[in-house]
Amino acid sequence: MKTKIIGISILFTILLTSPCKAATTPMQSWVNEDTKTVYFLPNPILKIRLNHLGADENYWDQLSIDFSYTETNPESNQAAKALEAEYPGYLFQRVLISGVEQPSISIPSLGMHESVEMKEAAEGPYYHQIYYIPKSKSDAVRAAYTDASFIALTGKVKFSIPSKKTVESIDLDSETCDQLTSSGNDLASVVQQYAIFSKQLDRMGIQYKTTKEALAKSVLMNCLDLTAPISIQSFRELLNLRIQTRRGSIKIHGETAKTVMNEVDAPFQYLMIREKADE
Amino acid sequence: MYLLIASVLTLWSSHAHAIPIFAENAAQNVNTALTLYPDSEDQNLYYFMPNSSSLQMTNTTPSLPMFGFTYWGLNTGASLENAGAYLSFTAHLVSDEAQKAALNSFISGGKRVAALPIQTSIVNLTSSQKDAIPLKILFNELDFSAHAGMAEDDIGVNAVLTGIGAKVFKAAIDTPDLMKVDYCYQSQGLGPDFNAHVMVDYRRVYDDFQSHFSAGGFFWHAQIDAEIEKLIANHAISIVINGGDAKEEEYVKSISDEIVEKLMQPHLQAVPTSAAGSGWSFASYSLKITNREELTTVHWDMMKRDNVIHEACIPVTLSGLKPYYNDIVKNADATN
Repeated sequence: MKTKIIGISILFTILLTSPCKAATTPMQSWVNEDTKTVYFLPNPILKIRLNHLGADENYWDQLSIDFSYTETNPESNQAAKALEAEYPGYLFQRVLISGVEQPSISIPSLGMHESVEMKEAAEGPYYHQIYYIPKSKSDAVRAAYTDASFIALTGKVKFSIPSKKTVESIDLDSETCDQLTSSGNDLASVVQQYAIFSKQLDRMGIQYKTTKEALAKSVLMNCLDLTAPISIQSFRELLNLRIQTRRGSIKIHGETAKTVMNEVDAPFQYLMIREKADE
Repeated sequence: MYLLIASVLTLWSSHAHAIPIFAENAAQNVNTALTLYPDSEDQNLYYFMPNSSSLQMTNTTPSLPMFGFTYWGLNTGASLENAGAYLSFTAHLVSDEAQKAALNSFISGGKRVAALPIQTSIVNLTSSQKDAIPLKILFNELDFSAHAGMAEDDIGVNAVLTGIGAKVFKAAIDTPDLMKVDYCYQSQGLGPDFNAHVMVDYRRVYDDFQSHFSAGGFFWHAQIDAEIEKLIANHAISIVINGGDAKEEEYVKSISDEIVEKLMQPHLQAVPTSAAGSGWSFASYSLKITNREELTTVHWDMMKRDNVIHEACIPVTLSGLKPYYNDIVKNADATN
């Protein structure tokens, strides 16, 4: 009991003395187990800065906005290390962003919510703009500037990542097994029927050779009872061998899996960097 | 950095015929912010694009930014209609610290890097509102070189500002952010890897388009692509993907191009390519007069990489000019 109390108090002390640290937002990631590759999407940054301009009643302040996947997010290193720790020995590759969907900006204190045009940089979309704020809205903007809801940028980025996908899957019913013994139970008759079945497979419009091969194998492995011990002295005995087929619900299945490029979209998950507004 | 630029220039000249593969990012386990395109021929060569920009500095002492702002009519008491300013600057693309570190780590691993060869480039302003002319109240003109330079070349921009533009920018030079423009470029390279077996039943495809065409009108390319997708769902066209990194929609687009070439004819439409342009585009298609009976089912293996034009931009922000204010801002009306 005494040990337990000491244990709890040590834990409590550690919790109390741990530096208060903001949690790093993890990067979005996708794992391809076949190639042991982790595809990750770094979190972009949204940097804002409010400066007094005083050029004219309509150009009183200026709000500078920079949204970027190119400029390094200060949290990225830590997030990357966390990902590496989670997947030791894997390859890590940043995704190639191919497009952006429905980007829009919202600044409630300016009464603004509108879709925006983003440019494509090699690392992803970016938006950089200077908004000029009229004197009539300056106080409202300055009052709201430090609020978490001062500005919001929404949208999605699109990219492709390779992943294994079943591109063809075919199931045959158990009547296929009955077909194998339809002209007799001896091995010669079964082989003859198997050859007919193979030709039927060619006419079924199966796209992939590998699916066909898997079905052909599945028929042999699942329809025939291969467990009974046999003793054969000659070829004649082999051809006359009585073949038992299995009964009941039998699943004959063939499929082909390929690595294909899957289009993925992911919402903006940015880190906000708010520079102090000048007076 | 100079060593890096020198090696990049050397590599550039010795690999003029090789081109980047834009469908792949070869930067693995290097850094979170690096994109490297592999070369089509040299397995040890990779392409990058500088990801940042900076104003050029003069060779004088003290060194000054290559930026000039000369205004008139602002201090004379005249109306703003008679005021204005001439703004000129020279910038260049640079790698930011994170990209430099990532490239150096890649080079120290025995790889070679080269800057992306640029075909065309343009400097422009982006409006904060979709489809609006950007900052038209502030600018009368924005001029830049019409010819593409290398990634390392200087980017020169001249602008004539309106009266209010002159007033705003004169004040903005005193703030951390003066102006944001985009340096956009096009570069040629190779697209995704296609590897598939394709079957097209041209007779069914023809019948399908004929049934739509009999209702009159033309096909836009996007409509053809959508129809091709339906024909794939109806098994008049089949695509068996055997590998590669092309997406399904890219296969559809490629097959659509084949079908357009075989069955369609383009029609010249009076559609300007842009608001400012005067070009024409082959925007719509009709069915060619074809002997239906000659059409057959065609199979082909699609194993290729297409040449593609890669378009991207780099933000150019003019900032940090405040310390140089007295050297770079001139009043044309001031008497000497």
